[in-house]
Amino acid sequence: MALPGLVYLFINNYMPLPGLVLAFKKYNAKKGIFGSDFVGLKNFKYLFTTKDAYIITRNTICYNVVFIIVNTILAIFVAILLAEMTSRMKKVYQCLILLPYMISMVIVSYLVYGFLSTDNGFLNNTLLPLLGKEPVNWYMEKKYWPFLLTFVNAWKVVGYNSIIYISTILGIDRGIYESAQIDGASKWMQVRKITIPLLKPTVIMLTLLAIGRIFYSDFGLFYQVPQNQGALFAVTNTIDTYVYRGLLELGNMSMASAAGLYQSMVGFVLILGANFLVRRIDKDSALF
Amino acid sequence: MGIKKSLLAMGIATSMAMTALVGCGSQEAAPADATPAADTGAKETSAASDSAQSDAAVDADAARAAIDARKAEAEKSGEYQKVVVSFFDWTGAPAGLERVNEEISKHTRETLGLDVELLIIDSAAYTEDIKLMLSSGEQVDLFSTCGPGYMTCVNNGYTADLEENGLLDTYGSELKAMIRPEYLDACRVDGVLHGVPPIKDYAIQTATILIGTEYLEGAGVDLTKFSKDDLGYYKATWDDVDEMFAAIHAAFPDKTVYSTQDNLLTQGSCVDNIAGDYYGTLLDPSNSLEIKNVYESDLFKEWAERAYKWNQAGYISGDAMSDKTGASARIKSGSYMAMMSQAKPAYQNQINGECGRDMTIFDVGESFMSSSAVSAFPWCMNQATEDPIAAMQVLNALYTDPVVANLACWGQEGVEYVVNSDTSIKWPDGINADNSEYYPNVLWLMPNQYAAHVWEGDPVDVGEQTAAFNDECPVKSKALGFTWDNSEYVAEYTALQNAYEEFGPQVVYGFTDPETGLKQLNDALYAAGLEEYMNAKQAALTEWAEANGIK
Amino acid sequence: MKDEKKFQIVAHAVLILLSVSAILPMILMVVSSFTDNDLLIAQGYKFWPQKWSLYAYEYIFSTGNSVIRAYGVSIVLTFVGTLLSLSITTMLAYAISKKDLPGRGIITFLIVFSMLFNGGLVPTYMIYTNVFNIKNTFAALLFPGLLMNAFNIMLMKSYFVSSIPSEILDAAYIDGAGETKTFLNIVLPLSTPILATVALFAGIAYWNDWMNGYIYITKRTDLYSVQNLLNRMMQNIQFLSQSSSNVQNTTAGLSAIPLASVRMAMAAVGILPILIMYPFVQKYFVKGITLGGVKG
Repeated sequence: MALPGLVYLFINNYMPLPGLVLAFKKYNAKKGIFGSDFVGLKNFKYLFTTKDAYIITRNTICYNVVFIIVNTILAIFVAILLAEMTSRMKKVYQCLILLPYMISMVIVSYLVYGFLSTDNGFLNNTLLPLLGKEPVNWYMEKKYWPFLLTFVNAWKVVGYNSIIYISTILGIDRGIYESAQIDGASKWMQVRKITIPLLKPTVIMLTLLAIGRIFYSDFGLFYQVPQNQGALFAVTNTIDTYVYRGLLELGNMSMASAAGLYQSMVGFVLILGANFLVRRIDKDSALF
Repeated sequence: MGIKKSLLAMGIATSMAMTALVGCGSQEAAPADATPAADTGAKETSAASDSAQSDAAVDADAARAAIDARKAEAEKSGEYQKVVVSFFDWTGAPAGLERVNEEISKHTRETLGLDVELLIIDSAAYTEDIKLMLSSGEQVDLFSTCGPGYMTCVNNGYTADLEENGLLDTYGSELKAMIRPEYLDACRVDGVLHGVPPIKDYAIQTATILIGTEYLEGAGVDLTKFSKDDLGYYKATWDDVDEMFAAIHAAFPDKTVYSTQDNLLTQGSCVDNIAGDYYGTLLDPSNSLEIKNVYESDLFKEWAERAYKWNQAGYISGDAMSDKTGASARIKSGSYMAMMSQAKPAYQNQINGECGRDMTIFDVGESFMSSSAVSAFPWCMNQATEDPIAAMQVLNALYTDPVVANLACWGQEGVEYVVNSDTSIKWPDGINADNSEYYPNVLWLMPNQYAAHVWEGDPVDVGEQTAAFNDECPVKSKALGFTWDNSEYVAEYTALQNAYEEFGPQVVYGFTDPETGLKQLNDALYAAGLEEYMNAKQAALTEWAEANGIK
Repeated sequence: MKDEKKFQIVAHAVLILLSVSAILPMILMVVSSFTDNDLLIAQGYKFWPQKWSLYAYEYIFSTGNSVIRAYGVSIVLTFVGTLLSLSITTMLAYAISKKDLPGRGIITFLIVFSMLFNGGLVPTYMIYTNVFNIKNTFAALLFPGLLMNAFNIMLMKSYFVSSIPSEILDAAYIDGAGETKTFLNIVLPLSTPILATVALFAGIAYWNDWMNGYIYITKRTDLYSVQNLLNRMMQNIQFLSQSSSNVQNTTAGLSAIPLASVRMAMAAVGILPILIMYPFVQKYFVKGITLGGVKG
């Protein structure tokens, strides 16, 4: 039964894997991937040697941690509301809050711009005057952006993430809730004592998987949404955007490969560590 | 090679040799005592001390022989060998591509004994696609480096040495004759010719200020005081520009005066961004090979102050830095009035179309040919190509054969275009840019657009005008053709890019006081390793200059 | 049931708020796509523009490749892809959810590992083009990358482990049902929420994908999917407008391209079918079944 899946896994993920050696080579098409010259760790150097290394690593990790926490809480919250709702309206809600996930970050960046633009933006032109506030030069003020980016990210993915929790909640045996009701447990009690504990394995698994991606960032969110504004780099520059600015012109495959491998390796180590901890506490929740 | 030479073949060979010599303008005058090269036939002789003319004759023979051999092979197998040529357009493979390929092949089966397939990919995907194809061994024989970039292709080892075994001399002699040796040299990397440049305008008219004619009229600006330059555009100074900006600003207070872009060095100066970036430049490229930091120069400071002044005066939009709309599109929208660009011959028609209104062109800077102008995007041959000789002959045809050039540039006569009496061309009835089945609109990257027809409205002699424009360019970089592989300094380069993006645009768009802005920018650049990067560049440049005898 | 009622009211209030915040930018997007392009550049995005225009849509639907045809490709691709993806994901996930599967730990590890590491674009491309020869075919849209992913497998496995009580399966085995029969008759019907979720995720992934088309389709413009076509159009226009100083003969076309509004129209064209299709998926998100006497 597992065969078709494993065959695909082998072809799609494992056959190209030897290509990772590219990260340690200076690629030359005449010699091919495997024949190219070894250069050791040189392709990784640009990721560490400059003073920016600290900022981009900090930004990448901090945003990811915040996103994991905020998105998980919001998604569970929305999922519980939707799963427990009896009205037919829930279908409409569910559809609407999924929509932001469907539009690309490029478009999102234009919509955000529509709200934040200094001269023509909706906030500066309509909303802030209405509240009697001065216009803000949004793309120059970095203090707003940690919140803006967290908000945009949540806006885009919470609908999507909540679907996972909805399906898990719907998989819970209704009998449990019925007996709880008979015992006089309030709605809040039911959520706290039944739903949330039963969501725990899913939350742990999703968090573990997210930790594996902690050195990656959504390029569109950090590059396009802030319109690549230099004044905001202190709070928007991540490993991906930093690397992109360097590689855009160079088209150096070996270095792109090195950056990817670095991100994967860190994720891999962290996921192993986290999984080890989880297994010590709750064996069934561990990934493997 | 069993070569049967007829008198006819000899005739062709001789005439080719003549063309080659005439076109080249070479001073190697052919001695009269040329030995008959007929018996030798092999290309190795070209290195020998034979005269130029007999060399050419031998080359032509070899070329002929290769063609005959392919024809014989095709007769046997019933199928012609194919050469694949790839470049990009704006819409992806045109609907009529197969038909055009068939038309080209019909012709090249006769002339070259092979089929030609144009593989046209849209600009969005070309860069990625061509790199993948070149990495994976798929058949692409010739390709334009516009997209992936010439140096990227050379550094990744995608390109073949075009002069290996006399390839260019023997099978591309007409092509070689069309391109000046200095332009070919400009494409050499470490002495190796990896590509040949498309024939086009290499020089640019820097600091061209464009102002909507209606706004000038509305503000009552008197144009009679301006004289005109060689290209027929008004000559103006920055003071004139300031004056005009003030006038149109006063006359149209609701409109933004200046549609900015981060182009003040690329289009607004003759600073040579040597080896492809501005981290270490030649400030006086026609006289000095000393690499300096442009961001500390008086020239940049002057620009920064100008931008700051304009911004303070309210000529620049508050959204200038985050608005990514193209400068001309903003003018077309009717809320912006002026922009900076780079002019060239026959520019008026184009810019009017882009901006959707009549624009008046002011020439404030000089015309300039940078070190990388010629080698920006040469045509290259895949190093893995199976038959370099066939590929070279197709490349030769793309440069010199009007039938091939016209088909590749404009499609099929009578279907995609019709010819006017003055040899310019126009749309047939009922056909336009939207419904034409073949309209790549990338003339400027084609090997030789001047071998094909000229579109109605542009001067029929645009080719000659462009050649003159290139020749007469007053500021030509001494480092023309210098290239540098910066892969040893990628850490610095990446950090520099990030530092520039962080502090550069604020200065360029005039949002920070130049005093503080320039200091911030330079501090960040030096912290990112500018010194080291510039030293490395200078070392490479000095070495190159010595090797090439340039002082 | 006062408690229940209070919950419902609060839930409505919160969800209405969220829906509005999700839909407002979307409305801005659709309105912008109907706004005159020059006005958009001059005045920015407005919820109620001074001048409406259909030009962006005319442009999309009249230029070059057929959007209708691309819709067809996308629909077939999404349908076939989702079906295939769901099948192999479910089977693999079920297999590794069984505690007695030999090598279960290793297989799970291999799956998670595949999520973290990949060989990179060039090696993957070479495998698919040189070994499997799928360039410029429909298979190139279907197979690379999208068919199965570790995330969905783990999601499904976790559901099987936590929501299908082993007592039920044991009961089925005792009744003499084989592994296949149990899977088809017991496990699948109990798993509709997660099947719907994974199908939805796979469907969205296929619908939104443009990368495979970019990389593997170089000649067959008839194989462009909607997202691929729209993305190409958008990037081409962008590219064209940026390098306009190099384009000759621009009078024929460039100035007529409504870049700003067309971008919004393209986004709207891209998500429209989701609005139409979504209700069909939704009916599978029904409340779970009461599992009788079995306690989870």
